[in-house]
Amino acid sequence: MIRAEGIAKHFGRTPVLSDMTFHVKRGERIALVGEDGRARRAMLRILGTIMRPNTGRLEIAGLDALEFPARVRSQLMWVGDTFCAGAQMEAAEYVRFVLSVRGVRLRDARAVSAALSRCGIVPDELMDRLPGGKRQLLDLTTVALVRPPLFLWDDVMQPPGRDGGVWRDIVGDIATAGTTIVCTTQADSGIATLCDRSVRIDRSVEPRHASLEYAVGAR
Amino acid sequence: MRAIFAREMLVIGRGRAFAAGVSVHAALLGAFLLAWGNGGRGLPTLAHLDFYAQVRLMQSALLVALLPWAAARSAAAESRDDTVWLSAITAVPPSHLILARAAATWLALAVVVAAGLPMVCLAAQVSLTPIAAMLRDEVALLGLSAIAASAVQASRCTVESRLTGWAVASLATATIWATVRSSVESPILVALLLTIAATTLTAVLTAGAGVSRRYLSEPSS
Repeated sequence: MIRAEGIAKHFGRTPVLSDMTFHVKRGERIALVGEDGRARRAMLRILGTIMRPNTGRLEIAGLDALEFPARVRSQLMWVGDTFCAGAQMEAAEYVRFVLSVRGVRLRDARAVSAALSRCGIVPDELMDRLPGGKRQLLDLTTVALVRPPLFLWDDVMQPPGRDGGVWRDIVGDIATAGTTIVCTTQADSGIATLCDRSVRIDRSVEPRHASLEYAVGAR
Repeated sequence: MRAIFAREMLVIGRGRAFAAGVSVHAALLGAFLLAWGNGGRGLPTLAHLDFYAQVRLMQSALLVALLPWAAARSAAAESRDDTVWLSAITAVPPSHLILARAAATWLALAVVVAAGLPMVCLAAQVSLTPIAAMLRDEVALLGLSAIAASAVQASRCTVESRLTGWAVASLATATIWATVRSSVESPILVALLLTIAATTLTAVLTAGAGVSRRYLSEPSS
């Protein structure tokens, strides 16, 4: 699904990523771990084709991501601390909007309402007023409904309480659908244990997870 | 594309600026009709113009100021990077997002212009102005709404500060309107020229967005 070779990125004169090389198989769940949040974020944004690396090659779903970023974007979805595309929209409206632009038609017209109910979100609640944890659940629900080939998830954080159980169920649904998941998290976060394997973005902290894979040439 | 356009219309419709634009236009025209309708009340009038022409003059001056404001305030307050994110989240090219936004703004401003139609009809009745002439003048104002929408879109794509962008767009709209109006007599031709200018500007913005809004801005260090 993903073939990254020699990916390097610097902001001005500051190197952020250096010669990153890793491969991700279809359906895998991998965590990009490291203490440097800027590096994790940069790598994820490069995978999402919204940031261009300074050097390197990147292939996603068989497409050259640097040559055809628009075509690659149709293969992936995002969840993270990004701007709210649903500003001034109601929760159900936003989900239907994303389904519509993604060309997804649900067989069951009540699927959206059922999905929102599962997350404890009222369909006509405004997106701007949803707390961060609920908005994350809503975004994850949308990903589960769309079932993209690739799912990019920035700064994964499991919500506390009952929402945590719903969160796990939704993530499980996404994984069961065969979606490749790439998430970012700090090295000492327990999130990495949810994934099949991890890729180190930096070497600043010794990893705890047993099956860590080091990206060749990471800074 | 339809979903993106619907989203833009939703954002505009739920914003207060759109409702304010419609209300202010209708209210001020109505007030003008009430105040000047009978004439001879000690209020200033342009004696060489009939009542309908005076209403149109006042309406033009009002809309030249109101339309750019309504366009600037009613669209979603999204930055350049926000457009990149929206493109990534929806997998819609940035050029399509800009085009949908321009079209939605144009339509919203046309509704603001149309809000004055009842009062203009009354003024036309008072001055015995033919309906055909009234409708031709209305078409010219739709041209004004088109150029106002495009000018605001252009300023949002090029000027960082929203306030400065609005000021620049207002000035551009007023200048273009005054120039075209003073040069061309036919309202239909005015509308045509303004629409061509607006369409050309939007096409340039759309083409540019494909490049300028493909990637997020980056810190320098």
